[in-house]
Amino acid sequence: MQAEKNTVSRVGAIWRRYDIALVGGAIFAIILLVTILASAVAPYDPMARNIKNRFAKPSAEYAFGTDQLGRDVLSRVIHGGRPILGASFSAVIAALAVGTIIGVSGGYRGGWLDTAFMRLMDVMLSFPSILLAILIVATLGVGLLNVTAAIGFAMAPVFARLARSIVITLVREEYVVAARSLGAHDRHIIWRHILPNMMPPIIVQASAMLAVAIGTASALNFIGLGVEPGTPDWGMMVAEGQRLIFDAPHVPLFPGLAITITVLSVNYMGDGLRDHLDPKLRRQGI
Amino acid sequence: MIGYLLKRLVWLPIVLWAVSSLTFLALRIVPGNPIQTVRNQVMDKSQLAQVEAVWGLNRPISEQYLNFLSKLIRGDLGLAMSSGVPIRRMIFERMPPTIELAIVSLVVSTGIGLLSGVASVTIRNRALDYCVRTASILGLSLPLFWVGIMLIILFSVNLRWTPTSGRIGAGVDYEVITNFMFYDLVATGNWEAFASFLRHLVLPGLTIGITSAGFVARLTRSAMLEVMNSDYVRTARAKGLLERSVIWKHAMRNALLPIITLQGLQFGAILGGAVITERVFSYPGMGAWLLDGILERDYSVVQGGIIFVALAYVLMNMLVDILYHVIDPRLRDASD
Amino acid sequence: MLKQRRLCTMLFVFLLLLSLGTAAAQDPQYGGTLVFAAESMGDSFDIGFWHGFGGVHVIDTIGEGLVRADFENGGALPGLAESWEISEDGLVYTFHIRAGMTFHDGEPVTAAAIVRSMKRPINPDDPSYIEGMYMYGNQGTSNWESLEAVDDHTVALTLKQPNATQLLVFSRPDGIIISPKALDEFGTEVGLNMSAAGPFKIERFVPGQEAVLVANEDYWAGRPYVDQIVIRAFPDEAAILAALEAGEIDMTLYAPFTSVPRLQNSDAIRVEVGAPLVDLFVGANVAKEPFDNLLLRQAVNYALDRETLIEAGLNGFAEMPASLLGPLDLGFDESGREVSVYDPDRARELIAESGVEMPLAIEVAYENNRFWPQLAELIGADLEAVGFDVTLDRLDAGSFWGKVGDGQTQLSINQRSTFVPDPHDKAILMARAGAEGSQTQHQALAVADEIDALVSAGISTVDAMEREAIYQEFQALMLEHLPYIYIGYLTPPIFVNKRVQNVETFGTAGGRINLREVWLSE
Repeated sequence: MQAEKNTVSRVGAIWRRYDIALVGGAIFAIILLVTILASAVAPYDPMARNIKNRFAKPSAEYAFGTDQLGRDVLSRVIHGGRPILGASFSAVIAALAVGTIIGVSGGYRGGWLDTAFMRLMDVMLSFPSILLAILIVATLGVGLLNVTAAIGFAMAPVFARLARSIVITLVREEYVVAARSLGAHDRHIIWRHILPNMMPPIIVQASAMLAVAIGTASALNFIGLGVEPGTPDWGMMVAEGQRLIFDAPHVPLFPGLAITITVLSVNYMGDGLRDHLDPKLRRQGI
Repeated sequence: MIGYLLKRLVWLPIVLWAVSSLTFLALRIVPGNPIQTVRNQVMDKSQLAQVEAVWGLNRPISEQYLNFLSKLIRGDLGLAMSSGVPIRRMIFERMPPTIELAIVSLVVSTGIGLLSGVASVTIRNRALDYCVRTASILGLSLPLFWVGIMLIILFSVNLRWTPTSGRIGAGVDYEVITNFMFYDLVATGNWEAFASFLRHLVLPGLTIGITSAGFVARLTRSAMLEVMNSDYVRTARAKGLLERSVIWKHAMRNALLPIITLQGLQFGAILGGAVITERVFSYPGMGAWLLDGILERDYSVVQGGIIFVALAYVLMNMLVDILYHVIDPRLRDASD
Repeated sequence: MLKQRRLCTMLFVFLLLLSLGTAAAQDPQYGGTLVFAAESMGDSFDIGFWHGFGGVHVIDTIGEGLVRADFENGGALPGLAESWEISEDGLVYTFHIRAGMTFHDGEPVTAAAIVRSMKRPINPDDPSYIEGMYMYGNQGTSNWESLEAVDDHTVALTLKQPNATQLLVFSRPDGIIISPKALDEFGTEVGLNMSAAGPFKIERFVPGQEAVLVANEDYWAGRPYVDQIVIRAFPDEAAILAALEAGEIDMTLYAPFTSVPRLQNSDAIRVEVGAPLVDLFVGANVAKEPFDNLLLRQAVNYALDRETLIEAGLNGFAEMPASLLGPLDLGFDESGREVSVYDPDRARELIAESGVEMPLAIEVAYENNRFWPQLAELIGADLEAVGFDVTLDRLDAGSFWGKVGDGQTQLSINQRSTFVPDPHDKAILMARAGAEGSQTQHQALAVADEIDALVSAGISTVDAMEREAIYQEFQALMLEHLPYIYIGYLTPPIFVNKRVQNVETFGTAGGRINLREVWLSE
């Protein structure tokens, strides 16, 4: 009885602390599930054209209507998460890993390595990222992997700069200075003091950058340099459907909503994760 | 501080060299060249052979590169291959509009972002906090071309408050001096044109502003949460300092650091990267120009344009560094 | 489908009658500002360079060459030259320049000024000379023996060899005459300060955004009706639609075809249909496997369900194709209509006959803008239906022309418009010019020399009857060997505000708008 009450109150506490993060997580889990099980969930073949039934309005038969080639928009939305989410997640994770390594190693050590890294980042950043991505995709050709590479490459410096700016502040924090003066190993300091303390802002940045990655992927599609033609992909559907906004708004609207809901849920999850990881916040039990 | 800046100034030409070399190389790797994109407009190909010779496109790449560098050192950016217009002239036409757009966007995003970020931390109201967070993520996640067209539909098509596109109204008379309209129109006292100019800036400025306000709001929120829970703010509170003064003096000053970094980066990014916004709003800036240059493989346009974007970006970063030092005294001694 | 097309035609005729009716009921009015939305706006109007269609529209509206083109009936109309004579052997052209004309900057239009402007690309001493002004390559300068002002009002041109299109290329955008004062004063930057002798003059130019043009009170054919024309760039199609909705645009060619059904029913917009001047086609690379095989090219030809392509890919805005030349071209060969047909069974038979194993992997390249992606997906589906395994290769413009030029494509979808009403324009650009980089690499064909000879004969023959025969033979040869497979003749929708009257739909369909006689009601 007592134990049960305890559990209930603990669940209640967790819920109070992480409510919106949990909702975000639940929505994202559903989106992931639907995306993975797309072929089983989708009512129609996302590639099946029906020229006679183009631009059908949403109805019982086609919940989200049909597009310019008479394809079922609902089925395309269900299938369309995999490419854009896959590309964006991989790009952000790759950029985060590479960027953090560069930022931490430069910022912690300082000296010529730091300078060299930061000037290299300057070179990369001073090349407008969208133009860089366009050049990369124009060179490698359209396709998911190339889009991922282009976005990841363009984003790495952002993480590097952020990581470095946090590290150079953290290095001056009392506890780091103290640990150093006590003769602690650099590796120990980085793993025990620097990384845990820099993770919260990095994670927040990463969840925000995911939104940017999805935006960039859509933008590449808008320029005509995105995924393979015909592939159901939210970014591509919004980009190709944008010109239909007055004539068949359902074509761009639903994939646009899918992008929005996904990014929202990921960001709420990111916030929750940040709160959970932040040692200072945890200490106070906020 | 001054020594540090000098050090960075020394780096400037090296960064510019690296950026321009990268651009040069990238353009030669991308399939297609300027001749091929115009070939289908010309019946007599002997003229195209002449173009090829003029631009040295028939020479080995190493020779083209040395030629490009030697001209660059002399400050000669050449003519646009496709249109024959001097690049310096195009920079004069295209750079000011984009800088103006960047300024307006930054004002919008900093204003909205800071206010909503601070509000969500200080006003302890969960609902408001969620609203601000949701709105800011929404701004981040929506593709620019989507936000742009939605704003156009709302403000231009339905409400008819703002024009859909361009930099200034058709048929508005004005004098071009610096091509910065913020200066030209004020200096000449041309208020009618100035009003038209501002009306045209609203939507593109909002588009970029809204989408990057999310960044600022989130950064503000997390930086402030962290600072508010840090030892010295708690000490300040314990000392009985007023809440407002704690926020503004301590928390804000620390929150400002990452925000300045972000906005500095953002400013640089807008200079060459407002591609989508400029396209949707038919805004005659650097991004749209560079995109066309890339799509038409106009080597001299892209090479010349990117150098200016890079230059502006690096200078902007130095400015950010200076601000850093002004705001955070702790860094003042460290990096000298 | 057919029914719908007939309906479309009926609607068109109805609209035509309606506009004729209103035109008869109302006299043309002077005044007003017309805003034209282009897909781009160049950085200059130097006619030695290509500035996209936005640039062409401005040059066409402000400029005038020795002659103007009659896109409706073919042939040349008087321009700066009020009349001309061509010698029997087709070598000597004598142009009589109309008296009393001035350029926009007030300079008189004299024979000497015309000669000066025309010699700009071949006179390196001219202060406005820029090395590599490639667009002048369309003027035929390399074939000029001499060009001189005989007196103030007479220009004499002597050719080395007869050139059947010499007269008409003077009507091209690169054929307009520029004021000698502007050439001297602005030198190589004359493109930013154009002064010509056309119906409108540039009042303000914002590179990349717009050109504001005002009526030229002194235009030789009389002041145009409209006071002011703004040609403004709208690179984004949705933005064009928004501007149409907001009433900011009076006329455009660049709104998406998918919006026609809705806009046709709107109170403010009228949709006119352009003449069938533009070829849409699939170019097969005959120098490369597998389309070096004629049987496979024929299979592709019969695999295309053109009615569906036109209906679903182009919203019905095209006519069924016959051959390389269009129904308005000299020497148009109607019999091509029996070759460019949909017959999938025949396609499968041809594939079987070729002995090629299906599914055969092939690539279809196309540009990533406008209606191309939609059309390409449908073409891909047609080809898959007869057994090919199709990869769609969506490319940006630069990569597309790079790949085509380097002969790396297998099939490539594209279009060819015509800048002058003469078959040579399409013939040379599709079948000979740049044999080193033609879309089909047709020099690999066994009959390449024959094709080249016909294209050359088409231009060096002056007699119209003889030319007609040459072009019929040319088309037959192209249909027999099928380096190009024809999809249709584009009849582009022209979106105009209902207040815009007297819209020219012939030149406009090929991208050469003519706003000289347009007027605004109300």
